[in-house]
Amino acid sequence: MTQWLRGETPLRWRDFAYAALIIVLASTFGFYVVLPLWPSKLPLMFFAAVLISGYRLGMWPAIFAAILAFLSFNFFFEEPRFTLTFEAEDLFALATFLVGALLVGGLTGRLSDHARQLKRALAATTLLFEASRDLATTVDPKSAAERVVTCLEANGCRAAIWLVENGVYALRAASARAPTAEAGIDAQEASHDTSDEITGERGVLHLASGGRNVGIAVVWPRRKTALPDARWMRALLDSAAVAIDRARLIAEIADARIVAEKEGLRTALLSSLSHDLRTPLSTILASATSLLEYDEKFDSATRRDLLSAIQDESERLNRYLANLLEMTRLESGALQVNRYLTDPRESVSAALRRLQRRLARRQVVREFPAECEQVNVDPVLLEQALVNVIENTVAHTADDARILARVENVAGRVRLAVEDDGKGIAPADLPHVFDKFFRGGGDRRRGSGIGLGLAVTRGLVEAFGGGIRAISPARDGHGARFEIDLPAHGILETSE
Amino acid sequence: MSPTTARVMIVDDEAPIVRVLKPSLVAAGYEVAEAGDGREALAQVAQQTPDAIVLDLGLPDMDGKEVIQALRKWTQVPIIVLSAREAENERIAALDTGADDYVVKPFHTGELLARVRAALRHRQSRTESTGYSGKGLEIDFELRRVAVGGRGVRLTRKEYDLLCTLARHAGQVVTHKQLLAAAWRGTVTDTQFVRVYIGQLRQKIERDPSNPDLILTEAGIGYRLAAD
Repeated sequence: MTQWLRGETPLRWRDFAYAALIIVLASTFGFYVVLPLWPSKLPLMFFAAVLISGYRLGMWPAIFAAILAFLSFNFFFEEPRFTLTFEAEDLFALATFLVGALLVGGLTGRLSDHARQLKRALAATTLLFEASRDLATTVDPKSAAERVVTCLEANGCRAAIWLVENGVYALRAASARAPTAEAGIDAQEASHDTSDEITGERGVLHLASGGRNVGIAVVWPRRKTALPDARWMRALLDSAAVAIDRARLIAEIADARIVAEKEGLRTALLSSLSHDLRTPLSTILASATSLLEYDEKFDSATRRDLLSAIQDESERLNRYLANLLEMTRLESGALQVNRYLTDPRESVSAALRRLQRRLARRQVVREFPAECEQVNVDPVLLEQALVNVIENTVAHTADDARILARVENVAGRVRLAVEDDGKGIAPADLPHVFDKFFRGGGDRRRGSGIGLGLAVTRGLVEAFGGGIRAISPARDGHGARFEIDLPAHGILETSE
Repeated sequence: MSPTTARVMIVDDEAPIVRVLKPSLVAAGYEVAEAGDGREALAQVAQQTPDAIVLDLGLPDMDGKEVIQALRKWTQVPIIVLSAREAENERIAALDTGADDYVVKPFHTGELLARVRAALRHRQSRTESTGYSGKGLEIDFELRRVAVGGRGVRLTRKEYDLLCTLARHAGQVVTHKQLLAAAWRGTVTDTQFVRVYIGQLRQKIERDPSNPDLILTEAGIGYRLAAD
């Protein structure tokens, strides 16, 4: 009954003031217009004023208006005028006014309550819709939980969500000042019972997806408001449960993939170490022992040849180790970079110089601009990156190949390109040339490296804010070109 | 070859390295002394007065830099440092502490011997030489004249100072810091200046400035004037 009387429309003092104003206006109008013309219609006029109050302001202001109307009518218009006298028929007028106020005001109140409810339901539906939309794209259980809490907060309550992690509830999201401790859920073992429990003080709802208990949500009403509709909460938590479950699956799959990748890398590394480090070692050991054993039987040319083999293979081992070390440092983030403004032409020249011996029979062409933008790099590491690219080219081309080393300024960047006229890179291999331990077409030729050089180069170039790509065929249907792009930092000022 | 045989001391705790270096140095005409750790090296240097020291930075008992520091308190004997490739900062620190040059491990014997030769030559030339000549480059220190392939080259004062410093250490590395000190006498600390002026210098004296063969870059460390 009180609920019906009170309705959901809150009482506002302003409405009572309006009610009073309506009656004052009615009295004035009655006094100057109605009284002189049709005095017998005065009660009707006041009744109309009460009905208007009820229609505009709701029930309680209307009742207030009814009482004021009765008093005004009695005081100003009824003989003896300017006195308050109560007789039986006056009480009848009061009753009539009150009935009008109650009926019209109550109806209006209920209508506006209804509209209000509709509005709130719409708002709740919108909240639910928005939350579901966000949840559908969430890939992380914690942010899903946080999203649900935000949604519940928007619907006028405090909430906290515990997710089942390793069979135990762990608090993952909570509103500010939510009494999470007194819920007593933290670190409890997750139950199989997923039934909800909603009381006036709080609601305990389970998040379950596919029959599995994913977590638990506790919802507290804020101040005097009631908890949101149970079905609404259920709908929200159901979509949250699905989202959280899915996010968890995605994470599990990603973890599994990382483990598999690591496993694959380890296998590749082991095979690389056993094969590629042992091959040069075998040559060194065989040459050295041959020299020890048969020194006097070898002519000087053979002796020199064996000794050169020892030198070549040792240098190769050294390069492998340098790249292994660089890769390890790149991956562990321990790479120490001392960056300076560097002339890229100098780096290319230095890299070519370092590979002089291996390039001896190849035709090397340099194409450097007369003026060149500088790059901000660690010159030692850029040289290493270039050596790897050139070495890769040497390993994949014939002895008489032509190698073009070019430096050019390209719109805010400096491009370092190494191009050959060899057989190029197979289209299927092209996307993988920078992968660790990748060797094109099962290439296990001598000197083809451990498949680290280009991966290291990419790592280094990216550490300098640049990029690298492989293009094949480079021109006229054959050859390969590697392009390293680095951010340009202005031309070296050479004036005094 | 100098009339008295130069004595080179190897300070390294790794026997195989010493085993290989010793006969090579002897074959190149040097007398060889050895020390297995820093303490022994410090004691031996005083007794044997070597003409050059080949010092491994990774010694078992003390840091190679401490050895350099201790030696530099009383002797200017050339010190050539052996260090791992990746220890770039350590290398710079060693050079700044007073080492004369470095060789990265693993190295070619020929490379090490070239450094030893350059160090010994530098030691001799420090007092007497009035000019430099090598690889077609000629410098008259007294007249401050430079010529490449017989043709005179006009250099600014700073360019000359840089080239002169490099020439006095021909075949040896000269760090950015040393070059700054030589040409700017402490007024400038940004090594970028050195790079700019070396660039200009190369334009004037190199046959192909983009592929220099006189002033070689030691990436991240400094420059080296190529010796014959």
